[in-house]
Amino acid sequence: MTGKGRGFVRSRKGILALVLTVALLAGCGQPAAEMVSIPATPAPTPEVSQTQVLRSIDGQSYYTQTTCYDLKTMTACDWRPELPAGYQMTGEGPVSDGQALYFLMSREGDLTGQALGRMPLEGGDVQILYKCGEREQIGIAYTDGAGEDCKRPVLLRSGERRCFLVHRWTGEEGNSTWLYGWDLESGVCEPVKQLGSHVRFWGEYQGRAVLEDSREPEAGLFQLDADTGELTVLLSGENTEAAELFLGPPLLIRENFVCMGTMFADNPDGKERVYCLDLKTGAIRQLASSDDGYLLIRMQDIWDGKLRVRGTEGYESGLWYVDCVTGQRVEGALADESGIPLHIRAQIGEYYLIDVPSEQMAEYLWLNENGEPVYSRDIGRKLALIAKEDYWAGQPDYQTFEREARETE
Amino acid sequence: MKLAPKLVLTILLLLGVLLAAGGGWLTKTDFERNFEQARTQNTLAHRRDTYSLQNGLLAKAGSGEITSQEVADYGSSLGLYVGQEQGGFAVYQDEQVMYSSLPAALGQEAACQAIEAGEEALLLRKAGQNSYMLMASPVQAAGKQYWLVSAYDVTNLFRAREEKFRELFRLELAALALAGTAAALAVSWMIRPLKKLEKASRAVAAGDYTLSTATKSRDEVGALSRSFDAMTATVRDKVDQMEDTILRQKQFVSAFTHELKTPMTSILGYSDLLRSGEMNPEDQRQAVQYIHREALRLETLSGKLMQLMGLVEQEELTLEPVRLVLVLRDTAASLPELAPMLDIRCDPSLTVMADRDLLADLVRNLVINAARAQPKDGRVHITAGRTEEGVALRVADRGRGIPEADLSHITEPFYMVDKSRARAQNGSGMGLALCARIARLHGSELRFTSRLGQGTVVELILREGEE
Amino acid sequence: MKQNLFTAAAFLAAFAFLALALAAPLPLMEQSDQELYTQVMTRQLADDGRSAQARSNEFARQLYDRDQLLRVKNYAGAILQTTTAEIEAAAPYRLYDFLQQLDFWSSENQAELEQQISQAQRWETISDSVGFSAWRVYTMWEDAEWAELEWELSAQDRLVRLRMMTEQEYTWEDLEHMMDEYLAATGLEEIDDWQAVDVAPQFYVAEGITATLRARYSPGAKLYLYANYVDGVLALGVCPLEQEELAQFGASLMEE
Repeated sequence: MTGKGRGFVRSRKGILALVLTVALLAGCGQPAAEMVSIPATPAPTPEVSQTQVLRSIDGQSYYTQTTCYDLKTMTACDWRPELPAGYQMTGEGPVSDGQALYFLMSREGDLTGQALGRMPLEGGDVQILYKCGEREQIGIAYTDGAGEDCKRPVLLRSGERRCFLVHRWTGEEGNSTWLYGWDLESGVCEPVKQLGSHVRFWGEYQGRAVLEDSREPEAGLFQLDADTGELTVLLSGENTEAAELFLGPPLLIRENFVCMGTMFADNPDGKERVYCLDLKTGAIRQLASSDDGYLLIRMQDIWDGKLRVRGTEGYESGLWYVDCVTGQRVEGALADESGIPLHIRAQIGEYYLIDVPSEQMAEYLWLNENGEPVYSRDIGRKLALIAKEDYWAGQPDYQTFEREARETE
Repeated sequence: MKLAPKLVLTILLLLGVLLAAGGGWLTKTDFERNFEQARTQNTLAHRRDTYSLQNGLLAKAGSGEITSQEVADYGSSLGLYVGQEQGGFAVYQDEQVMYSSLPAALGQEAACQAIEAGEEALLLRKAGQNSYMLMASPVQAAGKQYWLVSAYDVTNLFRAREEKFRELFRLELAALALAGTAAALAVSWMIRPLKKLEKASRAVAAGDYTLSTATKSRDEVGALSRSFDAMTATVRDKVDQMEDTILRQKQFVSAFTHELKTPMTSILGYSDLLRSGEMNPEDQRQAVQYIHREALRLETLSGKLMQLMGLVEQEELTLEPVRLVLVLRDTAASLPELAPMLDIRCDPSLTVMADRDLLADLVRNLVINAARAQPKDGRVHITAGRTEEGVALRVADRGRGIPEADLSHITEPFYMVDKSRARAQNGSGMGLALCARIARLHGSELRFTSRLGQGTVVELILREGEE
Repeated sequence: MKQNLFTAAAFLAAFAFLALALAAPLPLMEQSDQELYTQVMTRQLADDGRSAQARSNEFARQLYDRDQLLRVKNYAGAILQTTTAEIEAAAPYRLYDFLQQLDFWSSENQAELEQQISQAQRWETISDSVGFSAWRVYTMWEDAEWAELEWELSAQDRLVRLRMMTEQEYTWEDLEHMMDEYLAATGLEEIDDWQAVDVAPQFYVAEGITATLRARYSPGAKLYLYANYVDGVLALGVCPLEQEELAQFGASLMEE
């Protein structure tokens, strides 16, 4: 930790600021899906959450770019929208509000030709809600937390209106981020408000989106009410100490743990470290550092009080969990053949949604752009649901989703 | 041969045959699988080698015709790659060998056979100690046709099979030995009860019935031993009974003989005296009197004996309802001299299930005995009344009484408490034995209660009958 | 005593019998071995379902063998790792020789090809143990764009695959004609069960772009022959495929 940082944390003022920050944000539901409260049943059934932010999990299923996983029946089926002419799916995943899926499209070969599309869940035509002009982009983020491996469009629900962010950059006016709203009934999409210049999605708090403006002097964390477009200041950049905290090094806040990573550039000895502040005991512990064998140490996410750490050095990389309370490495979590713990995508009640290696190599033929048959092999991965205890105990008692043949157009 | 070795042998033979069959089959399938694998592998390798040769030759052909020397050179350079321990190969053109690294033991013949067999064929040939897979394929280059003959050493397949078989053999032998021992132990443990049984039968044959085989097992052997024990017990009881009977009979006969002798001796003595004629008329008369009396005694005795004998043979009586009071009157009538002593108290309506004559006899005997006991009040009391057990018939006297030690024996034939006195009174000791027998035939028993000097009560319970 | 002796003798006899029984497989193995040594076995690896014709056709066999031996599905040159090589002077002539056998190959085509090769900036090449060689050539074209030219030949100089950018236009009849001549030039004509295949582009075809795909399949030889012209690129080639795999990219045999 930098001298200043250490001094900051040790000083009373520092601790106070820290505690305030985290007290405010601790309830800030993990951008991971702690929002949905699930009764612990063998097949978890998520309830519809009361948050404005749309996610990859609605009351019924979990959606990826190509597949819809039904949590009740544990089946997986493809969803493939019939896109309007000239459009292709992008790499971002969809979000669902229980009635329709919202996703990004782009005109082929044309990166600036993004559009936000909507497809009703029962099937039907894809509606384009907004077409980006030149130098415009729809706001995307890891809405489900860093556990996710793809970003999704930021969509906010306010009654019958769906709001999203549009980033615009022009030579003269500079950058701006606009809040747009699309009305379900009238089908009209219009701008609601300009939010700032460098505004990004940061997380969620009290059911509302939290945006981060990193540009001085307006820097701060703001809570956005999609209904009114009002921005409530949660933390202002004027409080420089607090600002340094959340605007500075990467921060992960979950439950009562605050983990902070420091990069080698900040440390005199050139090592990277990850610290954890336990809000219950007030203890600060170092969870991981470059001494663990890798030059770069990054935090990925915290699941049930265990921090997932990724270390990389050149082409080598490693992944492991550290217990936030004891500071010890977690052994025995469910891992694949090379010992890397399986990736957790989301948390649903007492279960995790994880990627498990599938037994088969998926081999498939396809035609390339010249019409020539090409053969590809892919180590298949499947999505599975596993009870938390089983995951941490290394018991592979997970339930995979069965493929279901279904016509989706 | 004993049972145990028979069983063990059978088990061993069965097991052995199974093991042999199983082991043989295992070895065969294992070898076949490995052979297939080797075949596939070697075929692919040969195909690869064919392409290598072809490419190599073609490369050389680019510079014009290929000479045999060049082929030979190319062959040897390829040989460096192929590796000699795997077998080797040869290049033929029109039956001429251009290069060969085939093992000498294989010889040309094998190679020619391979070529003849064609490019879809695979041969297995033995050369000395080793076995080889042979394959030949044609190669075209510069307008000429060459043949590549490859040999792949598969000796280790056979060797592995042999080794495996040998090991299997050893294993199977060991298994059999173990199984044999185990079977022997198990079998001997299981047939232990049979041995016990045998010992017990021998003991029984020798007369010892006390041994029991006592097996707890539930199988057939256990059942057998239990039946055997039951049989021994029954035999033992019967033998005891028989011995008992024989003893009683012996006693009976000796007592009888004794009783018989006494009057016989008197009769003989007195009749002898009479025959001698040396007696005076008074003495003669007395002698005749004695003879008569003793003869009478004999008659009574034999009569009672016959009765007893008759009763002994008789197992069952037909009982009829009989008015007790009549029986008692019969008794009284048959004993005129004792009649005044009798004090009969009996409900005239009482009816019992009895044999009238025998019951009368019983009462008569009891009364005679009671009278002989010289009751103080000069009376013999006969009472009959209902009790919860039935109708109780009592004959009581206030006479001498019977000593306790004799109580259990008084119903034995010829048993006399006081011999001298009883004989003097013409007693023979048969009376009570008769009564006891009669009582038993009525399904009852005589009960004696007696105090020395005070008197005796004899009780008999009879079943009430209906008129 | 006599009984004990008898028992002992019985056991000995039993053991002797068992030893013999356990060893019984040996002579049987001997016998089966004798058979192996005298019989002629077939080499066929597995019932691969190919017709005798296909197996006897040299080119078809080479294509199939590469699949089997190398176990690499090297379609469209996707998996071959080429290495940069010196610009080969002689290599293109093998290609020209083959192409000139095709009636169809006009002088314009030839000129185009020669130009691409002569202006090549970079060469990559690779050979495999079955004797196939592939070349990839990068050229500057019209000062701005890169053009990639790829081709693959067998050791006997038969074309396996060709992919080149071209300014010529090909209609479907052209492509069919090309395939006919290709079959003749390579000797694959011998295989008589070539059937037309109904195949459609799986990729997005923008407005104004022509994409013509023609293909044929031989179930007996398990070979897929294609000739495509898509947006200025001509792709011609043959590759081994199982009949079921056709469905994976949406192709199917056309009913005759």
